[in-house]
Amino acid sequence: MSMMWNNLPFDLLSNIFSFLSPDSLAIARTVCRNWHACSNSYPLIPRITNCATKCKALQPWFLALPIRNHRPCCYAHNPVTNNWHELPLEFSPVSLVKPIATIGSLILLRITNSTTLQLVLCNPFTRQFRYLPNLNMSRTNPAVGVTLSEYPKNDVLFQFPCFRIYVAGGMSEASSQGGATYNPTSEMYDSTKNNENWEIVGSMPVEFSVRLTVWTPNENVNIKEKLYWITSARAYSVMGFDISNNTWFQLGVPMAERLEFATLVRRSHENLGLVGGTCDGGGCIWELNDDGETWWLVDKVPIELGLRLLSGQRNWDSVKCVGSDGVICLYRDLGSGMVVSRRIGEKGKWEWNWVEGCGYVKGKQVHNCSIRGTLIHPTLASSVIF
Amino acid sequence: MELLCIRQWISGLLPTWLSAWCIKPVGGALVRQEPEYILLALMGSPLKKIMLCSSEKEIFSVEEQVMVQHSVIINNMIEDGSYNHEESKIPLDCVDSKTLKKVIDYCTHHTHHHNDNQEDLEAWDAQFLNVDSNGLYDLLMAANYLEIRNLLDLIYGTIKNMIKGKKIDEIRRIFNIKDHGFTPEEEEQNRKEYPHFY
Repeated sequence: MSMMWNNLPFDLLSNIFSFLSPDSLAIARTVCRNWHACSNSYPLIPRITNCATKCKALQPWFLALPIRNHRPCCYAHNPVTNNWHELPLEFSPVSLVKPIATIGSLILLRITNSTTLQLVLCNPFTRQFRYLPNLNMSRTNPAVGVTLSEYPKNDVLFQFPCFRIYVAGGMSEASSQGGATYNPTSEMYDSTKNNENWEIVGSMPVEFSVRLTVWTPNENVNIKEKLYWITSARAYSVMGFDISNNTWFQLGVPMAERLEFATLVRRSHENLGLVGGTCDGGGCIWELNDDGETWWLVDKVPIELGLRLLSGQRNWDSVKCVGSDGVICLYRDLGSGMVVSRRIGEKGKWEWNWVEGCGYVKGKQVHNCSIRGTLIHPTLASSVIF
Repeated sequence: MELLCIRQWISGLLPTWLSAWCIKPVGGALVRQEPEYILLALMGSPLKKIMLCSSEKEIFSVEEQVMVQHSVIINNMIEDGSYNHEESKIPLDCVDSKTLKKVIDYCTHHTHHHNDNQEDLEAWDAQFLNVDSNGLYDLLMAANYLEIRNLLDLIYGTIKNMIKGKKIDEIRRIFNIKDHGFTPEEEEQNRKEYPHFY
């Protein structure tokens, strides 16, 4: 009788494993041979949407990537156990990276010590990574956007990631005729196609190209068939690309001149959100209305949490933000702690909480540093993309 | 119209022997019947039952409606006509009597109480799964074999909670795994796989 649990059929066991977060799974697979073999050979598909089950969906983890660090690593926060983990990021040669987007359990990173754009896909939990092929035209500082082919079902997202990366604008190398110019084209990489190429998909007015290159270095947000980027400084405005008809457009934002920081987030798969702060107004969250032009104030950062995050600072300049479906995190640096807002239930209210920063990992002190954050659905499954 | 009113109105008109069909004792309590049952009762046809046979050759009689709603396997058997109501019983050789009884209990409760509020159902489910790991194993196997989706998900969730946040030795103890099958070298190797999680 006691031989039973270590002799489960793999299809059953892999279903059980799909409910476990990676840290629990990492331990579960060392329990016995049967469990170890299953997690090695069977696809591990974590449940990120509620599907038909009553079981609570797995929440995404906050991943902090240090901007300047002598050791290539990142820090992951488990929202359930409230623990920080240090994960090595080994690409060779050692490079500094900046997160551009999260694709399910993969992060798309930009190598920062290269002038022209070089992209890497990585799963920081399995330590697998892959460099993406070079662009048709080498560009410096273009805007990058990612779309998932359709609202992903679990197995598609994790085993066979279907996504497209768009790169627009940027400065091209100096040509023989003159100096460097702003590249008015955009290119696309499709993960579902077998070729190792980028495809030139369109062009844009030069002013857009300039703005994309100079003013919008930040991560984009994808809502349905549109990609949005926000400028990096006052006066804030939003650039958008409509993939379905290949057109570019602009949007204004509320309090554009006064916001001390502003970030676009994905509030849900249908709604674009804007998170911004001013010293007198505090932190605010707006959503883009159905008309696609006006914004609606939907939430505010609770005052005590806002003050705790600012921790003595007079303004919101140093605050950064990242969000994905159902979660928004406001942070400053690795040790500052975070203000997190989570949606409870499918259409529920948003709940605000404080999360302590990463000061210690497994008893060892971690030096504070500035970071760029992203939200990721961790998995220990290997992806065919690598 | 509210079901209770219909029933009371009808029971007032019916002879007592027929109105008794409308209130059914289930597990010692009197349970309100769904409208379709009332109609069937009025038409005089008894609720269709099917026979399930455990590995110990014990026969359990269950409402067809209940099992068809929950078990994909049983639903398929009845739909493709391989089950003959007059004579057949469905042999379930890998489910023992104790487990089969529990599974029937689960399906019956969820069919008759599917209109209850979420909290009550969850409380009942929690109580239902308050078993030791041997019992849980048997239920898992039975639910998997009979393809009862919601019971399976419930069990998966329970197992997840039994694993979450525990150390290796604790998990082995909880699940009664006395022989893990690794050599000491392999155990050492395992610990090096995801060092940031141990």
